[in-house]
Amino acid sequence: MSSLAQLQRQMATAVMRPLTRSETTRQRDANGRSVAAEADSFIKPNDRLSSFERLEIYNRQYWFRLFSSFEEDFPGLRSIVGSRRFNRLMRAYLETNPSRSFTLRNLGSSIVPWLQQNPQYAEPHTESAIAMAALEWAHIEAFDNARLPPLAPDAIASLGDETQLALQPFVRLIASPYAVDDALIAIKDNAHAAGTQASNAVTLHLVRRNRSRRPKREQIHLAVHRHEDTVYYKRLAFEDYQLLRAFEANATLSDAIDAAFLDSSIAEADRPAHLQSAFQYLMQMGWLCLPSATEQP
Amino acid sequence: MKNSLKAMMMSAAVTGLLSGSATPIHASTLQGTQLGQLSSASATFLGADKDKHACKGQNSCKGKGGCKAGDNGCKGKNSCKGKGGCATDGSKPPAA
Repeated sequence: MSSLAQLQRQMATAVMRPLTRSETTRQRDANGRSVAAEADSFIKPNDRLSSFERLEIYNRQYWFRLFSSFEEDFPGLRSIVGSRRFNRLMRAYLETNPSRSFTLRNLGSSIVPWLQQNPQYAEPHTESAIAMAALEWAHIEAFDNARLPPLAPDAIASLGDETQLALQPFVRLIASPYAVDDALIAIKDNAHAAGTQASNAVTLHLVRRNRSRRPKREQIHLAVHRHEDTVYYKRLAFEDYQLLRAFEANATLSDAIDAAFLDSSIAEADRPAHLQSAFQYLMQMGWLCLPSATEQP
Repeated sequence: MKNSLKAMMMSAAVTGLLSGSATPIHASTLQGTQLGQLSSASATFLGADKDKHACKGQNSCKGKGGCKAGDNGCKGKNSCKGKGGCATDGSKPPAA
């Protein structure tokens, strides 16, 4: 390894090292070595700051950026668990799931499985917290996942029972025991209103109150999707959700239809009309594509 | 599932796809739209509830990648403010 690469690695390790609880640079690294001595070895002091203090600036900025990004992505989760618990949750999550991507967009990608493995961070609202985190991650994915060429009208004529269809990557499906969609929209509306108020205030010092908005218990099925660059939450009937889940798994047309009406309360006589309406909407929205379109080149 | 019912279901699906291909939905009609308004069918697939607009006004960076890369990540938390310590070479800011 070149000395430059070694230096870059040393700097990255120092900058990305987790902070103390009081958000300062740790005095010792994980092996008990002095961070100040380490900083002295490769960072020049100046007439105002020691090497350690100069390192601390970057160490803190790095983590503050991650914290603000994570907070921005999960306002609903924060609202459910409360600010203090959220800060603990966020630090624990980021220490075990540090940024490994060129974009902070992916920072929260492991939040749902992490919360499932570490429920103590969201107690006593673990179930609703996981549901909210799933919605907030789905929102991020719906916002910028790919839009592949939708099923073309001229491809419909050649469709058969065994034709596989796929769901567009920008449509994400959520099944939740809580009405997290209503709660999250209320939280965002509240934050937007507070932001507008703050921007209009010239001299008034505003203290934002982060009132908890916990979702009501209600079994819901959602499609989180993007349409003309805006994200929407659409409630689905159980049958709709089952159908789309099947397409998400690249099911054949025949299997998807069977899956849609598994445990359905819709009378058999009404099912064809239901399906026709369903497929009309899916086509209008461009939510279906051929599985070949989802394969990487 | 009986073959006749299965055939009807397939036919319904294809009919829906064909009718949907002729009338794409635009954002101006999406919100508050119920499927009954789009279809002569009485079924309510995907239309029982209106779409809920979830992030109006937050899409300026859509499709450009790395939405978080360009904004001010350390706003309000600038620990080096006033210390002149941010420059890595120890240089001082120019006199005003």
